[in-house]
Amino acid sequence: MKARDNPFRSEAVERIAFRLEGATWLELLEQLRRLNYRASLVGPHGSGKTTLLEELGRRLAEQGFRIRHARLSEEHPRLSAAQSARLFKGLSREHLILLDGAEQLSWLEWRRFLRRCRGAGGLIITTHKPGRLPVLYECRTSARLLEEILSGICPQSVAPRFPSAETLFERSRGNIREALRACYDLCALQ
Amino acid sequence: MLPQLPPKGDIFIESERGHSQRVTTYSFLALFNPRVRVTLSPGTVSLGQRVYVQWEFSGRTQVLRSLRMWLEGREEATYRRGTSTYTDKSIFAALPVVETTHAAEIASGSAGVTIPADLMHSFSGDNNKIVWALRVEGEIERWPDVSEEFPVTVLPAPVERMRA
Amino acid sequence: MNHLEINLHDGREAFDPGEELTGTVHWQLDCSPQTAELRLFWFTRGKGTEDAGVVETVRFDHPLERDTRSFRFQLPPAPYSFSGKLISLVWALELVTQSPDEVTRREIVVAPGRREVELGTAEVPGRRERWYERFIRRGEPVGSVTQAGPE
Repeated sequence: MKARDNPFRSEAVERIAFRLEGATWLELLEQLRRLNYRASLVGPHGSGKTTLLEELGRRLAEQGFRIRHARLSEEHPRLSAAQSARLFKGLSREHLILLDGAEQLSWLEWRRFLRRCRGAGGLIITTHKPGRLPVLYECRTSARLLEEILSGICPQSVAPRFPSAETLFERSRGNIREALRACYDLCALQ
Repeated sequence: MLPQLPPKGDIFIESERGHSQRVTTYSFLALFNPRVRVTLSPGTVSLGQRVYVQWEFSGRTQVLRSLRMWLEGREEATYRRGTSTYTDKSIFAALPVVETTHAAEIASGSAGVTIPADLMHSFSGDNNKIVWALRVEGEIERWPDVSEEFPVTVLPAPVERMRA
Repeated sequence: MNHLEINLHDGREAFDPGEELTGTVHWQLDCSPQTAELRLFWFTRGKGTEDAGVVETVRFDHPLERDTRSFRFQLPPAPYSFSGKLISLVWALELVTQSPDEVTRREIVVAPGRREVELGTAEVPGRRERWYERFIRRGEPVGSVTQAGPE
């Protein structure tokens, strides 16, 4: 199968909507308001934190907030001076900062980041463990969730040759992203 | 005791701690390996063109039991999401240059290889790449093998040649 | 209803690198757009994060509510349209209007012989099979290896 036809290509996987469990979007946004727009999305690798953060950003933009994104990764764990300047320039109450990968910052860096965000109307972060900001939502994965995702995008022609969702989930140690990447390879072998 | 080495020709790198330590030891011992110098002519290569490879080993050349050299073309795709970055590789061409166990041929020699015209030229996007490289592997008994990679830029075929 | 279309000369959809690409664009909108432009670009699809590159943009002056314009591009010598296991590189034309915001895209092939380059997999000695491949293996050689990133 050609890369562009692969149903698990990056662009198709990123279009999968986040599935909220135990709350509605309305409830989540109301809870965020109660937390004064300072909150964290918590969960392990590949549990959908980035997807949820992006979706939340879209919905908050619709409410009139001006969204500024920042992403830290193990590859780039610090913001450059230019990125910082852009992120913090002219912050007002209508600005919301979304920080993906807050666990990359040391305690001291985190305190400094918080201080620089003071002028903003809010700060929402993703992190692997709770502790930095009140938890708005805890991202969890399950074999059932993986099965639901697979049933939405896995073509019938290859589905019978796939390992079960339970096996994929277990071998990927609950990391849905890893499981979907394995599915890409399975399709590529067709 | 010598470290347990990964199988010959395997470029899989695992991030688990034990394996990383073996790789470090491997790299250290490999410092004492013979050194290879390769020359490509012509210096810039296009798809469909024949390229000549000259090689010459220096240092403890006599310890090499065999030499394998090939021109490799591969896709490299990097995916960045959340805090993770993954790079996948898929080899689409492995064009043999030389495979020998003769000491004289191992020490120095030359060979030609033609890059098929129907393949892809070198390409470098931020996340997606087509990489061409000359791979050299020399086997040494009970010691880390020689394993070197030399990047090669393969250009698209000249437009005039395509029209012809 | 708003309608945009890109028509290529002689209905061609595949070209050699360096060739000239000509055609017409047509749009029918509720009102005259503020801007209308045609972009020649490439993008990638596959396992990696997408890359894209705009090669040339033609801007149509004083676009009307209902309009037809002609265009001409000189295609570059590279990159070729190609598809492998991990990456596809796709060339396309995109007609974009602003106010009203509309877009239409037409994919083309730019490669020698006007055929997309197809990349297979070469057999690599010593490669370790990944655990899930046994579910789908058919016996054909596989050359894909993964370098685990920081996780």
